[in-house]
Amino acid sequence: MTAKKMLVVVLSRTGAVLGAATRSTPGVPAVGDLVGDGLVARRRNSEASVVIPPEDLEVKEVDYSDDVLHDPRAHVVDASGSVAAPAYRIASITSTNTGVTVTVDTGSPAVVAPDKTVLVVIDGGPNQGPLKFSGKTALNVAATLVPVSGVPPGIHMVLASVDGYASRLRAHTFS
Amino acid sequence: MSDTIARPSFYEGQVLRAEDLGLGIDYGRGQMARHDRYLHTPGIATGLELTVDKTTGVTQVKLSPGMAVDATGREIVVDREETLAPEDLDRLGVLIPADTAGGVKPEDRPWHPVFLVGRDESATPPSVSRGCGSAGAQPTRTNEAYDLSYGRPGEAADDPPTIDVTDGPGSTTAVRVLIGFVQWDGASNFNDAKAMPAAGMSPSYAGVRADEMVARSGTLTLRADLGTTREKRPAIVVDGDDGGEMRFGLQDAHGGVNEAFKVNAAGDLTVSGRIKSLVATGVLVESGTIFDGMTIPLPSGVTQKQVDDGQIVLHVALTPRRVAELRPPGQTAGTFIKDPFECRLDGRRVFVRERWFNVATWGSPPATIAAACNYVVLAYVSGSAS
Repeated sequence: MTAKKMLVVVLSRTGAVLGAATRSTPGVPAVGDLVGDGLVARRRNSEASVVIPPEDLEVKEVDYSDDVLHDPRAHVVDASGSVAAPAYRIASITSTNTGVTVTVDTGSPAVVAPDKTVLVVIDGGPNQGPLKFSGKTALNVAATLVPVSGVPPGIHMVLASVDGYASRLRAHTFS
Repeated sequence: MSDTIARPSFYEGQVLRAEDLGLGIDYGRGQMARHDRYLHTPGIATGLELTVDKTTGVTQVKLSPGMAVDATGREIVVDREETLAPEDLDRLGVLIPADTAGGVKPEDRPWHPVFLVGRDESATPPSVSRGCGSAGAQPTRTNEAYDLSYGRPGEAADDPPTIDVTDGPGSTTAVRVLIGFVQWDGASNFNDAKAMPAAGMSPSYAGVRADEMVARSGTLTLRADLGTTREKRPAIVVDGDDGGEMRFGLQDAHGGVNEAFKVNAAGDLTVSGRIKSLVATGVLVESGTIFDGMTIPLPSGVTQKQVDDGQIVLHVALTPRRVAELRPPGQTAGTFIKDPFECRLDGRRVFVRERWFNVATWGSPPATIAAACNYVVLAYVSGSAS
C-alpha cells in the first residue's frame, strides 16, 4: 500500500517548511500553483504578513503528517527529503537599521554547524517587494549577524530561517 | 517599368526576323513563368533528394534528378544525378568555427543549407551553313543550366526579387531554392546530408496559391504525399454527396478514406477516437487540505490563464479543518478550546486562522494562529455547465 503523501512548500536555500497542502491529484505541482505570486506568511495574533517570492520556494512531496499541517513552520525538510520537526528553533531575532541578528537554540555546550545558510526576508512595505538578505553560520556561534540595507522606516515583518532549524517570524521596527 | 505583353503575329510573305521568332519563344516562357509565380509557391516540384553514399568508403552526397521552381517562376531542371563537391562548401566561405572545432561530435555539427540556382548559359551548336547577313558564330542556343551553392547555418531561401507582373522568368537575378542541408565532417568532407535534419529545418516544396479549389467530380481530396501510393496516407475529403460532408482519415488503395472523423453540413460530428481539448471539458474537481497564505491548486488540465480569460469558471468551497488537535502550535500542556476565526478565499489564496482559548486563563485574549482548511474546487467550461 502506498503511503499517504502531502506537499510542503519550503525555502529552497534552507529547507524550512513555510506551508503545507494535500490534493487529490498525484504528483508535485509547480510552486506557482500553490503560492501564486508569493506565499503569505502571517504572524500569530497579527494581521501583518510577509510575502515570500515563489523564486525562493520549492514544492516537495513528503509523507503525510497531521503535525505538519498543524504547524508547518516548526518543520524542515532534510537532505534526504524527509520532513521533521528539528530539536532546535531560532531562539530570537534582533535588529538594527544595518543588520538582523539571528540566534539559534543550541545545546550545552553550544553546538552550531558552520557555513549553514541564514536567510532573512523583510517585508518591504506597501511600495516595494520583500527584501532578502543572507549570511552564514560560524562554528559553534549561536548568533549570526546578517547585514541589511534599504529597509524603509517603520514596522516590518521579518522572517528568519537557518538551514536545519525551524523558522521564525517577528515584527521589527526600523528607523 | 513593365512592358506591354506582345505575341508575334504573321502574314503571308512576311520576312521573319530573329526578333519575331524570339518573341514567340519569350511569350510562352513569360506566360509559364507568370503561372508558376502567381498560382504556385516556389520550391521543389519533384525529385531533388539528397542522399548519402558511403559504399566507396568515402562519404559522398548525391542529389537526385528533379525540378524546382524559383520565386520568379523559373523552372530549374536537374537532369542527372549530381555528386556534391565538398570543396565548394569550403571555398564559399560559409564554414563557421563550430564546423571545424575539435571535440565536437560529427552529428552535433551545424547544418548548412544547400541551394539550387537557375542559370542561363549561351551555347553555339555546330551549324551546317552560315546564313545570309550572319554576324558570325553567335550563340544560337541558351542552355537552362543550374548551380549548387551553400549557405551559412540558419540562412533561408531567397525572398522573391522585385519583379514586374509582365516579367518572365528571372535570367539575370540568381534566386536560390532551398533543397536540403549538409553537415561538415570537421576536416575536408561532408559528414551527412538530410532534407529535414531538425524541427523547423525543411526545404521548400512547391505549392499552390488559390482562393478556391473546385472538384468537378464533387469530391475534393487533400492528401499528404508521403510516398508513391495513396494507401495509408492521411487525407481530407470534402464530399458534395448526401448534402455535403468532410471526412478525415487514412486513405485506402482505392482512394477511399477510413474515417477518423467526419462532419456533415448539419454540423453532426462523428469521431472514432477520443475528443481532447486544450480547454477542459466537463466538470473537473480538485480537493484536499491547504495551509493559510497558499493558493488552492487548480484541477489537472486547468490553467490560471483559462480562468483569467473566463474560459473556466471555478467554484471553491472551504471548510475549517476539524481534527483532534488538543493545543495550539508550541503548547505542550494545558487545556484549550479551538474556534474557527477565519476561513476565506481571496482569488485563489486562502486565509485561515483559528483562535485558541486557554481554559486556565479564561477571559484573557485568545491566541489567533494561522491554520489549515479543507477545500473542494469545481472547474467547468464557462457557459457549458452540465
